[in-house]
Amino acid sequence: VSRRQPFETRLNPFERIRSTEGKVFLLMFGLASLALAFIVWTPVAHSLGWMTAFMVSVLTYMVVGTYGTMRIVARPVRRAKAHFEAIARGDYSRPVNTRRTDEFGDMLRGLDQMRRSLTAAVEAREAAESRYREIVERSVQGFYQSNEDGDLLAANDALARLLGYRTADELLAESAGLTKRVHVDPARRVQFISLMRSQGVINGFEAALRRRDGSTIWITESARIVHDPLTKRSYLEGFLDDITERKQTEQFKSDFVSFVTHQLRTPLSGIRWMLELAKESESAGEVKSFVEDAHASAERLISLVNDLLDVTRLEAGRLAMNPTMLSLAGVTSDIVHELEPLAGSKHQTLTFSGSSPDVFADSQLLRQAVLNLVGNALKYTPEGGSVTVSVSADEADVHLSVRDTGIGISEDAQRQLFQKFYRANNAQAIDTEGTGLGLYLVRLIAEHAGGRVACQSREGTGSTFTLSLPIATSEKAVA
Amino acid sequence: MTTPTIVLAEDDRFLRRAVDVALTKRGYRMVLATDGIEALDAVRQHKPALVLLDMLMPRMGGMEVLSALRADSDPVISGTRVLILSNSSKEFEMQSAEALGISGYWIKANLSLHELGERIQALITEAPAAPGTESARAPTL
Repeated sequence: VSRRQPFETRLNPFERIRSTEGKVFLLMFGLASLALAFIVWTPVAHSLGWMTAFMVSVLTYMVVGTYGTMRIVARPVRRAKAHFEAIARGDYSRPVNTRRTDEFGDMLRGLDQMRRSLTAAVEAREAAESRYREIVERSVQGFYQSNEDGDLLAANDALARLLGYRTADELLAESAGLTKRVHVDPARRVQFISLMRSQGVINGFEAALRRRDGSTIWITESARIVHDPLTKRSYLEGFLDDITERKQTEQFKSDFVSFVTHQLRTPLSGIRWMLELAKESESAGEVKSFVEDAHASAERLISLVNDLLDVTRLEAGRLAMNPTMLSLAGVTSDIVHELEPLAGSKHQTLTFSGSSPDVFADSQLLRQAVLNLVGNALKYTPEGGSVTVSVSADEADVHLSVRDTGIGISEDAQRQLFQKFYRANNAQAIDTEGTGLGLYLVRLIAEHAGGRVACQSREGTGSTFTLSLPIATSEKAVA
Repeated sequence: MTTPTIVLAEDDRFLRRAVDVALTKRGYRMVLATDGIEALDAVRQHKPALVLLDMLMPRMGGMEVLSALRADSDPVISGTRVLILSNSSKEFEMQSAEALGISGYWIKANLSLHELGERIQALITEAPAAPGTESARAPTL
């Protein structure tokens, strides 16, 4: 078994002289020689007497030798101490220079080597950190760190924007208890914390948050608990994504399903119950009237399904259209004529005036659009009111105007009026059977014919709907 | 025994007629309402053994009628037995109605008139002193 020799025993004689022991030895040897020379040769020694001269020499030798030895050993140790203290403070900038050749010189050079590797390590770590910080800061995902009390410790700009702030600094200015406060449902936050405690990590946790302006957003969050070894404390770290749009789509779909379910179930129940009554009735007259009602319910069911289909096809551009040269005035006057009995039953005044050049459109669809507009006007105008229908034209377009003295439409409702399934609150109060498809169909039909539909209204006073279609040119007719 | 009165609030005329005919045949006195406001008036006037209430109605919906009944100062009115008869099955609406105190939430399309009649009969005979029975009272929140 080979054993490494201790370092100093392997020094050659020359190196031994340059080592610390060598220096101390040379110092002591030199001093001893000087003391001896002093005793033997100097007249001072002769006059003092041998004994006194010896005592003075030994005393001087001890004092000067000890001081010199201390200097050789203590000075580099003191320098090293100063450098260690600087490094401990985090100051890596002071280089350690020495020309010493002994072990202390080696030690100081070793210290400088250590300082340089530490500097490099710290710089590498800082570069890596700043790279990650940049990724986090530029991320479109919201990032945060918080403690369990809900205080925000760190955040990026994306999180700030998510919550309705301009910058992370603006958000962090309100950091106290923030992650607690933003939850719309406090129970959801409690659930989140207890899941974090039991699992330490969560992926895809969905919650509703309140933004700075009071509006609500939906987010999905992935978070974990991080233990900081320096502070010996734990904090939460998480990433947030805005899923409000997806949630709205889901909500819309579920609203749609429940709405359509209701709308389909009502005429279906009518058919079912009327037939049940007819089946059990003994009187032929009664049977006939039950069957008639079942039939009427079936008609309503079919027109609802057809409306839904028309909308879907028009949206997908799959409706077979047969556009021809048409007089909008002609179509409108027919419909007004058909609706006169209905207006009469509500003691409403229904008038039509005007004439117009032809438009190029599908006659069935155009009929449907005009019927929806005039029908709506009658439906939402109280008894004794009036509905004025007129057709006019400018250089480019033909305009159909339907003006009523009905319940009117609030400004808020006007903005959403032509959207699918939208129904204004005051319209719903008058008629629960509406599907919210009528005006949407008018819009789709107008757009397909290259036109548009608009509404002007004041709640409680009345509304005017205008359908504008481009005047047909001979080119279009040929195409 | 007097004939029990039932208020039927239903805006669809076909459904209103069907339920009216079926229950009249079973010997109930039917009072018909076409919207929520008419329904409230009818309940206050007739103090029925049972109200069959649709949810989606013009002018005033079923939910508002139910709240108004439960908040009435007259204990006979506030204790009126209410049965929701709707075609909408929104979870939220069902829970809100349950919280206000109802004898049931039935989906019209899932019931035949025969079943509807049988169930109503069972409900009314189960507690003859219909108005103000325990099951119809709103639970304290």
